[in-house]
Amino acid sequence: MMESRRGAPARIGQVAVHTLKETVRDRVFLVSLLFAVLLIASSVVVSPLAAGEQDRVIKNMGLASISAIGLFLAIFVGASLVHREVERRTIYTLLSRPVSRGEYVIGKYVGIVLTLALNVGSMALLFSALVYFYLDSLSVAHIAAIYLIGVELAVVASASILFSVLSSPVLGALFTLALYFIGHLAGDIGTFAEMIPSRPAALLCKGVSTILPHLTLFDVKGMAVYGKSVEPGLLLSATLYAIGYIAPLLFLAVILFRRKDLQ
Amino acid sequence: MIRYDAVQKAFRSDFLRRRRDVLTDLSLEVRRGETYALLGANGAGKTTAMKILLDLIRADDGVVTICGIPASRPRSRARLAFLPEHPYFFPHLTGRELVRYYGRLSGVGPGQVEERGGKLMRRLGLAKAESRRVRTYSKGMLQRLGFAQALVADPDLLVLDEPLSGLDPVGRKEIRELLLELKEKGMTIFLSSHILEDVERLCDRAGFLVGGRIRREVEEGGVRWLEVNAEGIDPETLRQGDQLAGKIVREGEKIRIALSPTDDLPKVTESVRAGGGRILSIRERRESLEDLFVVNVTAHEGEEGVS
Repeated sequence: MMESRRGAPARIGQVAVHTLKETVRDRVFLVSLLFAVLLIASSVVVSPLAAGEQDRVIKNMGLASISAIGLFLAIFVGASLVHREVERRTIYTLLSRPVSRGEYVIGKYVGIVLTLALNVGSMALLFSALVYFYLDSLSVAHIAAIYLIGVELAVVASASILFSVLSSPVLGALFTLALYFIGHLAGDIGTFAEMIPSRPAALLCKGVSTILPHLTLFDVKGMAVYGKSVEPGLLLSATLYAIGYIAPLLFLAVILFRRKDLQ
Repeated sequence: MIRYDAVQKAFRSDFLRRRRDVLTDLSLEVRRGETYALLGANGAGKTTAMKILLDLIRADDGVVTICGIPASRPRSRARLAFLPEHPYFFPHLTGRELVRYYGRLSGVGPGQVEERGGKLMRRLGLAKAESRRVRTYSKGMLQRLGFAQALVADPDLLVLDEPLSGLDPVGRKEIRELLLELKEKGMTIFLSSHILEDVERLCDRAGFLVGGRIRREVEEGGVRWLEVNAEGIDPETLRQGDQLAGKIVREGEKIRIALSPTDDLPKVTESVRAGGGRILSIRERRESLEDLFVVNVTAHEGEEGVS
């Protein structure tokens, strides 16, 4: 058993780098970057409309664009990655190498995270340059906000990999999108549970709120836009929370993928 | 080197959950250095058998091992390379990148992968196309690229699913020559095919997969036997004298005896003479793989319920 694990990081690395290459060479990646440039740049054009609020409009639009484009990639690319390889049957030659299914799934995940990092990183550079030259007010909070957008996307990507193992790309994307939106309501559902009188309904809401990822935890865009500082403790706890979520989702994806017959 | 022991596999259709038995009791052994062909009609389960070997599909029952290591362990595939029936490769990679990727996944070092990859691409006539994206490759080129990705890890065991199907005569000849070259070098080759002419030229042994199990195995060159024609003797006396029941056919005044290579020819001729008969001729006969295929595969398709 030990012997089969030897070289696992190298194999995971190979799959990850290959996945990055695959997604970057895909038209979707380029289109999403182009779209991001347009969105972020348009904030400069739109901002004069909100007299006196230019600063906030540019920052708000910029951060929201980074988050939205990243989400688009995490969901649509992530949900099709594993499924596409099974469909195209490229997976046969790949898994006939001494590569375990677990290494494959984790490699795919690391690959999509690298893709997201590249995507968010390039958008962040553009955004920072814009803020720096136009507004001269780039703060640490902006970087923290962008970092947490990235962490949130890593959580979303782990869900999309899991759904991609379970179902078709379209269903996988829909499930992940649903999880994203409900994840942003998870806190509210928890609060709601304390308010409703019916005990079974309250328990259900509480259960749902506990299981779902509280994605609002990663949203400090408002704080960054309004010039508030983001505590380092928050960054650390959000990162740990994300890891605590990603690990079981990936574990589940590996278990399910191991049981799959690749016909 | 490869061992299937009483392997069973059934698939269930997604909707009605109807069970379809593909492998019922597959047992076979491929010895080191041997070229073994798995023969069978379309849908007989050849690909399923190979996918179980590669752990792409899990058997319901039975054991499959590669060099004594259970096929479910990734380690069992350390010295193995596989080429599927229609090679599907990542269209966004160039030929060279693809060979590099697969080599690295098999644990070949970066320097060695470049050296071996370059050599293989030249040997397989892909040197000019190596920096082109795989999506621009023709079918024949894809097949050759398939061999390049398989051989870059310098495997001991090559598993090939229908390696010669869908190629033009020139492509088939090239691949056949390459396989013969690998065989000479001592590579163990396990392939499935229904192109019998090629199998006959390449393989040391072949097994007919019918009804989910090996119905018959034959050695290189099909099945040989000796045909002894005689006259002037009653078959009954011969049958009693020797263990020849079922091997004698009466044709008018003459009789024809079919002997397997293990039968004792001198003893049989002696018995004929002792019984007052006369030997007319002794000829070596050979049953081609095609004859065997028809007898073993086609004839049993209906009765075994192979789809």
